[in-house]
Amino acid sequence: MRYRLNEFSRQARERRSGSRWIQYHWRKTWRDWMDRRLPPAQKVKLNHRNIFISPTRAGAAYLGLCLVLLLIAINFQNSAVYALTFTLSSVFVVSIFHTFRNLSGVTVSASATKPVFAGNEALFTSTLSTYKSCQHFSLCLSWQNKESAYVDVVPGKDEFVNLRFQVGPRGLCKPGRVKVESRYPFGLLSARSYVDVSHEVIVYPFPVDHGNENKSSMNSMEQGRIERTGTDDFFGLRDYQQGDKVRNIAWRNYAKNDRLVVKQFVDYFDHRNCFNWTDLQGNTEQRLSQLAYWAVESESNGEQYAVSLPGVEIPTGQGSMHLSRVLQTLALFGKQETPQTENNYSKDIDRLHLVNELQSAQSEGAL
Amino acid sequence: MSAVKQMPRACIIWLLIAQTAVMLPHIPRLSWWMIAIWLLCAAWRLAMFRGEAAYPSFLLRVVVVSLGSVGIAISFGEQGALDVAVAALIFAFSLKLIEVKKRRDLYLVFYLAFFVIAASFLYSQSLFLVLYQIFAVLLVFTGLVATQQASAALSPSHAVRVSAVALGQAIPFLVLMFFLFPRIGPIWSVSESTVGSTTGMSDSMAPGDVSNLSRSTAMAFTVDLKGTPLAQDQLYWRGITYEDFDGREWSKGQSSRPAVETTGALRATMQKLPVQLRSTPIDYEITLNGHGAQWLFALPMAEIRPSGGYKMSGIAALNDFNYRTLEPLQGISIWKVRSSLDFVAEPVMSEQRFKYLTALPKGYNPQTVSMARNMARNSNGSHELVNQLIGLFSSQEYFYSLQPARLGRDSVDDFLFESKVGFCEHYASAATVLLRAAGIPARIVAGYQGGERNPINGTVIVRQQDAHAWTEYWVAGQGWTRFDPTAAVSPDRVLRGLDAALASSEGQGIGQTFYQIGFFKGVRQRLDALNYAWQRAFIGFDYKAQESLLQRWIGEINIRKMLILAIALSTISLTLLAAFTLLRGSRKRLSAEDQLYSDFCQKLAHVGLIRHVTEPPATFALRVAESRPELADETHQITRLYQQIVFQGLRQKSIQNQLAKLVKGFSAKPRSSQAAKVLPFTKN
Repeated sequence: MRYRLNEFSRQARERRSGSRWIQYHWRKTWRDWMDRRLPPAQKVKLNHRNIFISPTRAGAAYLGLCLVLLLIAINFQNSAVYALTFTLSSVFVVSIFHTFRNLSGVTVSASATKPVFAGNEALFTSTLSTYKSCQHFSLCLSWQNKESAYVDVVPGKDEFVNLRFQVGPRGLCKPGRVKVESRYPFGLLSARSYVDVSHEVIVYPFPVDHGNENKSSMNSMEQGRIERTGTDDFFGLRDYQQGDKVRNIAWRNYAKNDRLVVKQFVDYFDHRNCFNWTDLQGNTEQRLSQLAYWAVESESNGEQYAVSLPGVEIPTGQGSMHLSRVLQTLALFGKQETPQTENNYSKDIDRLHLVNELQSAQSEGAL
Repeated sequence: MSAVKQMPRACIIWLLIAQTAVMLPHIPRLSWWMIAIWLLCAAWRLAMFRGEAAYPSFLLRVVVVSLGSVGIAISFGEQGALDVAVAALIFAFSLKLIEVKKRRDLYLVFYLAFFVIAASFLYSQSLFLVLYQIFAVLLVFTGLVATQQASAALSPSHAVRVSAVALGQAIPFLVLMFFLFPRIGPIWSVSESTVGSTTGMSDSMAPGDVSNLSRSTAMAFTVDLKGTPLAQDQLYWRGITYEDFDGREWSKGQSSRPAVETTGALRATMQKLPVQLRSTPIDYEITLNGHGAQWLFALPMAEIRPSGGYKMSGIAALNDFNYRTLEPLQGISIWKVRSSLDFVAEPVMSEQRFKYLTALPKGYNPQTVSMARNMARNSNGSHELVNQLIGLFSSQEYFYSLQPARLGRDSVDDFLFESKVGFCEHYASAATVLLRAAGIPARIVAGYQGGERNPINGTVIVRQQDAHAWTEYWVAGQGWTRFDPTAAVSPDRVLRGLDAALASSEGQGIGQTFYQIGFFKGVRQRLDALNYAWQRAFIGFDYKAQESLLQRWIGEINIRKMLILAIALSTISLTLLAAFTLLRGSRKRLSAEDQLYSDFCQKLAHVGLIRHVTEPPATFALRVAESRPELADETHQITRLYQQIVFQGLRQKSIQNQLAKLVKGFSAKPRSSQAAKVLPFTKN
């Protein structure tokens, strides 16, 4: 709601200042048009429907060169210079087709992206292949003229191109359209397409210790909860249920009371590591980053932890799967978005990776 | 710095190669120090490429640029502005090499290369240069491809292939534009000082000062006489007249001024000149190599109009019946000429003009003057005096030589009475002074005499070594008459050319006669004929040629027709190009073995044995064997080999070749009687 209010006031501001208003509407029109023409998809095939082609700056200079040569040819009435001028301009025409052909036939799709902490760079991987039997040279992938990478695509082989992207605040980050460009062979023309292959990354809240005290640790003894049955300590007796281990039956008690009871053992869980939203102070983002901090710290200390958010309870657990589940919940807390793809990366995230990230994030934050 | 702006390493090598190719045609025109700077830059760039040198400092670059500018001013200052501009372009082109850091700089150098190529065409458009520059353009485009290659793994030949394909596909458009693009006149005029002179002739002539005349075999012009038989001694190509004499030096006079106001006139006529023609005119074409000056050369009495190559800013008819262009002649130009060899020019002369044309500076050449007066007293009329002069030059001990002695203050006295050795200028000067001293109006004419006939295409090639000077004298009522004293001294010079004259008189020119030896002469004449045909077709293609060509194709020309033609032809070429480029690679190409197997199936299909799309080769083979037992052996062999290659991955050449041989040799003849016995394929 608040976001939408902001949006309205921004629109109002932009309406007031003329050029920015035009710019805004131009961008919006462009975006809408692109969304209609090139709707987001898992896989985009580049062809005449979605390739744009125009001269590059070098190409414009080349046309200027042709014009100057034409003037020389006219003024000196020189057939050879005429022929040179016409050769150069013909090559320009021919290169329109070559540049287009070099991009046409390429298929672009997105691979899953490793989640990152807010303010860091995510590494997006695009997969390029061709459905034609010819090669495609020097394709350039970039986000809005920022980071770019070159790749040659040959038939029958997938090429993976990694592009970094500076993510914003926590949530689901969509970097938007990837520009796929070809200036091959002469660099005079640029054939390009802006493909939306549903690149997205889950951005975890940046872990910050706001100095909140974990209240659950203070009254842990009173509130202690059996988190799971275990084998460590004797806890008490209870009635036998089918399936209980014979080893655990308290035979002595049976002898006394003629009643089958089993000894119950538990693993005591460290109650400090139950992180609760309601115990925290500050706004939503501060609370979430505090929770993220605790989660990552517990994980790196090898402790078990649970997280409790309004409406969401994540039971105690440990390990990279658990951590990514926690962080993902924190990331998407209160947001409408849901990731389109299953978070395949949760199994791949090793603890070391996260710890390293945290350390680098903290050192950056300190700076 | 993003990868976009960096440059691949390979393109530096291509840059060096392309630059060398582009520079070569300019080498003869450059000063030695410019070549040295270019080589230094190339070496430096190579060292940078190998990581052995750093980029030049700003200070060094400033120093080199300022020194270079001074150097260009000194070396080329005397020459025309065009030479200076081209020298500056090439200097910048050389220096830019070591400045290249980013991809943008590379583009600048490659674009400069195109300008350098264009500059070479301003000096020559010969077939050989154009062919060479096609190759140079290919190399520059290869360099452009190399700048775009992100991967270093591609072979160098790849870039060459890509640019060759693009250039090849550009040909239809190039031809289209060359023929259809409207040719118009020049937009602004090049001032006279822009171009330097490249011939031995000049606006003045001092016979005593020249002791060694160059004998350049460079072509001055080629004449297509269109079959008119003309004797060698009729080929006097007039160009300049000298009428002012200061005792040593002859220079242009009153008659070299335009007779009529001719600004913008494309056709110079003799209508306003005092001339009567007495013979039927002959038509011919002169293809003139630009000499940087404004003279035109033709047989007397000529009417001239430009037919191609000249900038069409007009020509002027002069009082001496020569023609002059309004702008210096650069490159090749073609002229249509109509000459009448028998004429009366300027039959009447004013008193004042008579005095001007008999004037001699006082106190110079006293011996000559007194001899002339004696001869005039003893002769009856101008023609008889001229005959006496012919007798004088042919009987006395006068020699023709290209290396005469230098002459003193009274150059004509020294020549006539002491050295007695000289070339055409000496004789023409002496004869003119003698005639003027005898009271006959006379002047020197400079131009070319003779020319070599090319039996291949029947043209006459006039070279710089055919440059000649002779005399004209005036008789009341008869006008101007030519008198060539050199012909009296050395008839060979006129009848058989300079080489013959030198060979017979002094035994000079042994080296030059090599040029005339049979085999080489034949080859040279063939090349000359080829180049002439090229010049006529290519260089002479101007608005007039374009118009007549289009008229031959489409009849009367109007804008609608032209537009339809242009649009239709470009649509056709674009469609073809699209088909060539865009469809390529859209269909998957079969591998060799698949292709062979499908050929084999094709052969069986002709006799009614059609393999189903999903039918495995082995099943198909069994079906074939069953319905045509005589083909069973071959079919099984082919199928086995194919399976071995595809399923077992035996990709040895020998197996592939064996399969190819079997499939090629396989033939299935239809059996008319049992055609119905073909078993159908059942999917089970």
